[in-house]
Amino acid sequence: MSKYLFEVSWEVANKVGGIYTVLSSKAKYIKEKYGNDYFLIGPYLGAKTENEFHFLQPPSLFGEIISSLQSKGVMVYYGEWLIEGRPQVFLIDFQKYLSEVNYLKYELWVKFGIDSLRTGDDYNYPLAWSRAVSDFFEELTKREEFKNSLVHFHEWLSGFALLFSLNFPLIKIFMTHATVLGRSLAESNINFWEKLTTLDPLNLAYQYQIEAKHLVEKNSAEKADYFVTVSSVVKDEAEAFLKRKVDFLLPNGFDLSRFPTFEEISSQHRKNKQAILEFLLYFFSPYYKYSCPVKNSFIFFTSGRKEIRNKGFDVLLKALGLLNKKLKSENSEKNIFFFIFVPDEIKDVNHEVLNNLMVYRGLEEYLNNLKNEIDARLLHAVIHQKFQVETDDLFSKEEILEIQRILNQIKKSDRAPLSTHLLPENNDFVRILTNEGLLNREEDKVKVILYPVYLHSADGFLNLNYYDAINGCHLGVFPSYYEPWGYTPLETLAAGVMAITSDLTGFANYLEEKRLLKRDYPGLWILKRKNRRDEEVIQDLADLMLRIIKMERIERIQNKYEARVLASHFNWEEMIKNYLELYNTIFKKNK
Amino acid sequence: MKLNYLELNFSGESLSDKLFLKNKNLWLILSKEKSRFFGGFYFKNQPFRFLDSLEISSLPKEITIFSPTEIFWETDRNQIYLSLKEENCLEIKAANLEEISLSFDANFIFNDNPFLRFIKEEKLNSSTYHFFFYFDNQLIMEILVESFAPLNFQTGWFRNFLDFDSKRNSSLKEWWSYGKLTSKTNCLKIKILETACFSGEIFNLTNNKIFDFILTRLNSLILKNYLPAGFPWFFENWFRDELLSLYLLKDYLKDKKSIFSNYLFNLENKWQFNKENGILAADTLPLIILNIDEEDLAYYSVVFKKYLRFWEENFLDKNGLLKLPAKATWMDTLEKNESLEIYTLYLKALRKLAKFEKIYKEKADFYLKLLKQKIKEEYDVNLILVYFLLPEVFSKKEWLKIFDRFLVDYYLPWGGVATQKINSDKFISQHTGENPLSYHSGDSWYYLNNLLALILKDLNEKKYKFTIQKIIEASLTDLLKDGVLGFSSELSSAKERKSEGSLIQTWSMSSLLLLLSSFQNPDIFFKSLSD
Repeated sequence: MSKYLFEVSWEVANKVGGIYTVLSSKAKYIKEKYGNDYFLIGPYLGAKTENEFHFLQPPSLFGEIISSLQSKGVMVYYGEWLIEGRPQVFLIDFQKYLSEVNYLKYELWVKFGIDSLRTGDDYNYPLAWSRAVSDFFEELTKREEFKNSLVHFHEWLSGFALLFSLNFPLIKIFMTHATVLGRSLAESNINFWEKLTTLDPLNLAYQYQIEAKHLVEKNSAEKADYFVTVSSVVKDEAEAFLKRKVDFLLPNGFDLSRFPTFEEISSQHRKNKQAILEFLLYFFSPYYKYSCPVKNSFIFFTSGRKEIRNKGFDVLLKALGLLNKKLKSENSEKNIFFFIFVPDEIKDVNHEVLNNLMVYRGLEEYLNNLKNEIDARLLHAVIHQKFQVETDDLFSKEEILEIQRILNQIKKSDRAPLSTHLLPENNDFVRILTNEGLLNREEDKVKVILYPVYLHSADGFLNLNYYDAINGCHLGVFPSYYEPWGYTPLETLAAGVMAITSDLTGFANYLEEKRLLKRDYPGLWILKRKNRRDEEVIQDLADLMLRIIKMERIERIQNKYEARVLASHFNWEEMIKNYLELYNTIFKKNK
Repeated sequence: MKLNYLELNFSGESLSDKLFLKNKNLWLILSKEKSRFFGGFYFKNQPFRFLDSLEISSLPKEITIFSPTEIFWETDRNQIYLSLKEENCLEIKAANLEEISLSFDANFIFNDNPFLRFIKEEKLNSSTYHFFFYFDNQLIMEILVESFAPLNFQTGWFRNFLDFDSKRNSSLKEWWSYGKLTSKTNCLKIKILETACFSGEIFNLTNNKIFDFILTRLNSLILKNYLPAGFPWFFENWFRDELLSLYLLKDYLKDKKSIFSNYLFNLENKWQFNKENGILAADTLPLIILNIDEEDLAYYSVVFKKYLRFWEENFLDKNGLLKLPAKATWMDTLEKNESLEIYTLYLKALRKLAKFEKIYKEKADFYLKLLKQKIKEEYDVNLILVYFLLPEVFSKKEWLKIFDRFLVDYYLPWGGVATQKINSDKFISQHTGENPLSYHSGDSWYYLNNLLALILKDLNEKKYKFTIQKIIEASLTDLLKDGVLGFSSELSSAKERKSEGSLIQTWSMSSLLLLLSSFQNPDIFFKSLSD
């Protein structure tokens, strides 16, 4: 029995999506356990790879294997992935097979009935790479010590490698983090949860033109020795669509050490919140007759990929519209500023907003320079018991002129903007906001800011990176319709921010199953979406946000604390035990 | 559907909707049934399928076949003319506007890897499209589609269930076609942007409309410089098929010498194979010798003697008995160590060579005795070929007895003979499609049926009149009303007459022509079929 463990993924040293985060964040824990017997296998992509990879001389054990592959035209690079733990990695070049994809597709068609006619480069590249990976395994398993190595294949992109390697003496785990069909159906507004067992997956796959990927996924699940996935949400979907029972669940964890401690959270929250409030003041003030109501306000946000339906943005915006109406009808003093941190197609920066920000920051700097004088004048006024201070008391005529000159540079159109950037006319968010009456008018209690670019500390708007920005918020809202795991709400909790997610989220399911949520101060609220109509969900979401707004301060603090505690359950130090248990069980069984 | 053959002045009810039009390297097989062997093909050393389907919106009620290149449909609301008359061009003309729809493919005929195909379309203007067909990343051909009315194109691959292939137990039951090009028009043309490479016709016409009907069709089947065994899938130069057809129709050949020069000057690569790059065949050399005239045989006798010696080394054991490798005869699904027709062909060859050298006469005498003995011990359906090639093996009286027995064992009441004794447990009554199980274990081959009718006519026309008539009726039904209309099929199931196997088989047509030409008034057979 071999002692070697390999993880195969298209996203090893290749940041594409969530799998990269999973692999890179847990690698050090696996390496701690398996040391030099643990290897990752990914694609060699030239310059893109070289940013994350440190080339090394391969161990002698692999020297012959690599030379043999080289003589067949398959280049294999050995080295370290430049992440914590610096795990050993083989990156495999697949150029040789790119010109043969049609024959590889034919092989898959004949052996497994995989119909790859309607596919493009996003399919061809992983296919070619996977074939090269199977060459690697072929050479590997010629050596006795590598026979019956454990190989963990991630997603359909490496599923091809599993299928091409069927005849090699390896123990194969196939893991799907979501299903291709599930994601497509969810995005197309198909409520498949209630019809899961009655749907015809293959027919649907053809309907949505994803038959090739679906069939790769299905065959990989079928042919693997072990089929695993990340949550019970995905388990139900995978079993229904791929017709194979899931053997293990491997919930995702994350690296909590990358996030601030609760003490740091508290102090950073004040600072970041201040930065956000300042931005809001500058963003809206030009357009309002009276001041922008940043006092008594709450800062909420959502974030993620632009999948309107899957991420629940559609119901969220509608819930905000409802909330706006409720708060207005109650004549509430509370205001909500809602940030949508979702990268999107843009036409240009909103120069008007940018200009105004610069003007206000210029004004701030000017006032900072006058700070000492203003303090002195204020003190003078107070000493002389003049408690109603006039402008003349604080500013000289010249200073007032200068302030007015600065303020004259403010630009404004008729309406307050919805976004920091100019968006194409048919933008989905703008369309829904307009339909819901969320136009950022002065009288609106809910104001929405579309932030369609990646946050960073010099972006000219908030000038905060993502984690700092969410740290400055009160609540993250993620009412996903399709979320196999849900890193975004989890990271929100880790940042000490309360969150709302849905029962269609993998990790929320996990929390419920493990009964980790506290009744009184949960820190996280799980919105019921499964088998419910959108109208009901929208109502519930609006009511939930309203309830949160009405919380007392102490209640909010308790929930923030609890949010952080909840996140700690998902630290990889804990969650890696699932992986280790699986691997150890397999190793023992095959001794 | 009502069916008319203008060339024959014949009308009837068709049992099939399959049509075949061919002009040089371009051919069409049209049917409502779907098959990867139907559609439009262009011959590029192999048939390249560029057209998956051609559909019209109105319903055909009557077909008139003008010639091997033209048909005419009378539909429920239109009249449509389809023609391949112009070289490398398919023309569709309609009296009224007709919605015509085309879908495409880019595939060499036997390829089942769908991923090697790529098609690119370019809209030149509202009524013209240019298509580029690629296979395995190479540009194979280009076509222009022109209409008198606007063309609409829907891009994408569409999945089709191949009902015809599925019925034939094909491993491939689905195939994707590309695009849907539609036009509501009264004229649409597909022009193949190629120059045809073509060697000409090999049969002379006779002024007899029946014979010419078959001869024009045989001429139309020519590819490059040979007569293919059949269509859609026997388009290669199968030597035994060509040689037998040429032998059967030797009286109609235009230029015998040039035809056989292909064999004569290429003996080394052909004598022991069934086709180019094919497998061993024991009948190729004897069939060549059968066809070569005495003058050429005498002139090249040294060469033929040398190859006959090679043949004997390959196919005879030390006792002079046949030791045939697998699949070396026309019954290539059976493992036959010996075969009557190979003995016969060999004997024929020996007799021809005996005219130049005595030693062959002695051998011929030996094999005549051997053949007689073999037939007395056991015979199979190849008995037909024995009589056809060497009626002198037995006396007429003896043959009559033999064939009476033969008919009891092999004759099928609808007008054919099975390739296996009917009461044998190896007999398979239903044709098995792409699975070759039934081919020589029950299926009835039209070419053998036709030769049998000829033999029975020769033996005793009066006695076998009914059987001969049944055979002719079956073959003519196949030719005129069933399978591909106007062409003979390869075979039928034993249990009932059908048009099965290869839809167009040249030796079925050649043997039918030979049979019909043995009658003074073959028209009578057509009259009985006509409505």
